[in-house]
Amino acid sequence: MIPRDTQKTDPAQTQQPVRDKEPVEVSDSPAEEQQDVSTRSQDGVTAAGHNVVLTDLHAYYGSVHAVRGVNITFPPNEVSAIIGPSGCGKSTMVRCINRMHEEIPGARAEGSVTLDDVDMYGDNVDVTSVRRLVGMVFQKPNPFPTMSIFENVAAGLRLTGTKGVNMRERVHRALRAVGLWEEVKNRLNEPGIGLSGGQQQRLCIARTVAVEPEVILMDEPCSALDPVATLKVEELIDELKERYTIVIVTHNMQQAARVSDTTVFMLDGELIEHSPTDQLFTRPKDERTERYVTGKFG
Amino acid sequence: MTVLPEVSPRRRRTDKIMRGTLAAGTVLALIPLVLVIYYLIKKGIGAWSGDFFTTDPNGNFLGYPGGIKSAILGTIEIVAFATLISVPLGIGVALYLTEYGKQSKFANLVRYFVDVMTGVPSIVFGLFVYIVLVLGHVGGSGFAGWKGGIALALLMLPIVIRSSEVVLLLVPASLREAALALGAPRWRVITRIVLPTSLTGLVTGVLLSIARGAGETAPLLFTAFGAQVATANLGNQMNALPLQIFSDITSPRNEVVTRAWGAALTLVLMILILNLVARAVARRSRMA
Amino acid sequence: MQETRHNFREALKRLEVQALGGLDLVTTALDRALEAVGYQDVELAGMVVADDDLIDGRYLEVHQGILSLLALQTPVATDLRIVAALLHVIRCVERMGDQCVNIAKLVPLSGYESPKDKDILDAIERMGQLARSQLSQAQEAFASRNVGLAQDLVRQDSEINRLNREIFRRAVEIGDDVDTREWAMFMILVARCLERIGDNTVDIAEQVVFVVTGLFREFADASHPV
Repeated sequence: MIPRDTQKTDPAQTQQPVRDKEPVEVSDSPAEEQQDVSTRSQDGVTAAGHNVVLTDLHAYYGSVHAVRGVNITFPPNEVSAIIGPSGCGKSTMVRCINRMHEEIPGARAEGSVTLDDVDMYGDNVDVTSVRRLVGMVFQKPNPFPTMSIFENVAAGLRLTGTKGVNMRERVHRALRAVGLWEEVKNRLNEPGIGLSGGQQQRLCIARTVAVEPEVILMDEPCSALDPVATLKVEELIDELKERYTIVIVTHNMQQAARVSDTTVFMLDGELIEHSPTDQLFTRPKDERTERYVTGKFG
Repeated sequence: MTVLPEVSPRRRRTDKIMRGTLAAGTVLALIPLVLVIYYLIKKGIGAWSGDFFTTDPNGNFLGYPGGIKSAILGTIEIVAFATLISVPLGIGVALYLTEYGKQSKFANLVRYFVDVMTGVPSIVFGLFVYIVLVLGHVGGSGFAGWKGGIALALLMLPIVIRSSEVVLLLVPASLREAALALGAPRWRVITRIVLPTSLTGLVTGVLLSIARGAGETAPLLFTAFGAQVATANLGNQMNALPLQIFSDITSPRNEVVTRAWGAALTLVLMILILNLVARAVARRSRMA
Repeated sequence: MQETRHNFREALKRLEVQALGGLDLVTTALDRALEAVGYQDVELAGMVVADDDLIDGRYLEVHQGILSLLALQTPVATDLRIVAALLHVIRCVERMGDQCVNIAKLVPLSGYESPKDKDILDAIERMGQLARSQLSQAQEAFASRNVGLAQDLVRQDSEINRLNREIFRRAVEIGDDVDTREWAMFMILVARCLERIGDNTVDIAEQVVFVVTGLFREFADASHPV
């Protein structure tokens, strides 16, 4: 298989799939009407990474205005952390990126979310193809209880109907990428829920990575883990950013400080400050940021 | 030094009285149950024999009255037919309610109707089928086994829907979320994640509704009607254990009455076995 | 997977190398300053003053690095003591750099072709050697967390202090010639700068003990004369 980063398309061949892999089967909805976003073209820009741009994003739960006009660019191959007090809209905003927000009854989003300049909310865009490009790891590890370790990692591929891939190779590669391989290589057929909390979360990350997304979203991924497991996941995030653009929501400021390159501070649905992490934690630009990170409120 | 006050003698007495009263009430409630089982066994076991299970109840007027073969077979056939209808339909409705309808007005309306249906007396289902299917000779005959099956299915349907919905709701939302976030279309989330995870719970619910259906008499009175000879053709009139009991218990012949008790014991035993299987399935899922 | 908090460990190590590297910069400045004094080389003295920017720059770099490390990595225990000690060390480096500048500034003031006293010059040279050796020993002691080596610095420093007092005494007795007396006064000032440099290396040694034991103790002050 051709490694991802060396794949560059001739701008003239605009219908070439971005990655050299077998065509991904879209869901059974009428194929003609739905645009499979994962085979969009790559323009002449040679960035190997993928950037996400939110433009004037608003999100609502019924009449509650949870995200108010957020404009932000998440740079490629970097870790961006979103911090802010409870209810500030950080989780909501992130869930708009992979369109999980709209799964909640009564929820809607307005504005634009683009991945490498392709609009994720386009009129004919199939939501499942968005989610194949933008993976998500949740707060509480959620391996599928009826599946073995192997099946869990392969679940993403099976659930999306991906054909023509070497399942075993993908699974093994994903497990190695998250550092679980040595620990589970002899028990791939045992139930996924038999692992410890930290291992389960890494299993979920492997599951996300096996689908080979371009962006990984993490919603407080270490909240349910003990300190040692947390550290392992943070190290993993640092390694993963070489291949993915990562956005992590966390209420743990020290974690944001340790792990991210850029930090975003949100308050009451608005974006207050977006700075390099170093700067935000030593010389925040906004007074509200200063008050939050020094613990004067939150 | 901390001193904990002692329990007053009056408190101790009240506790004892409460315990005693509740224990006595429990024993009181158990007495009729124990009596039923006792009578069943005492009166029914006498009827059991090899012939009892292998001959039809069309014996001589003066001699051996026959066994309950057709009743057992009939119960099995009718209940199987009813299950085949009510289970897929019931689980389907439950899936709609939990995965798509959720708290919408329509879904809540459906739930309300299902609740109402669980309260409908079983004879009403029988009468409904009698009027709609039997009187009109739908399907080319009057009484038929399959029409009894339909009546039972109507009875079992709300039970299956209710119990399935409960089990499906127990599947953590986080699993559905994880599957959706991986890019799975909703129908795959249902077939690959929700159903397998809730399978044992669904099976338990189905087994319990079968046990309920197998014991009903009223819906079958005007639909399957009963018969003497065992038949595999659901288009014919069919026998069933509750029907057999119903018709035998008022007979002047002692042997026939005994046969009724034997049939009752058989029916209870069948239901008991179903319940035990349901329990075993549930326990295995908890231990896995 | 590598050892945990890999990035943090690397950053801390880099910061330490940067801070201790400042001592090398000081050594260079000191050598040049003393050479300028010995040969009354005004141009060399000018270079020392100009190159102090390097030391100041190093100070700012390490200071910013310390702030970042504290804010981003929340070090605790030994790591925290190391970071705090590095803050002290780089302050000492900056001060020592300033002392070298002070020495260099005295060169043009002490005039060309002035009469010089051999004893004083020898003592200054001896002080210079001691200061150089203390700088190197302080660097070694910190890098290897060697408490014994750190405590030994006090012994060497007492020698510098003695030489300082001797130069003072010699200058007082230097005689009646105005030019000589003026030159000797400047030499007293040079000696004092060297003595300050020595004190700073002892400060660094105290930090070594603090990092290793967690206890801070002044090696030699008014209440604990050596």
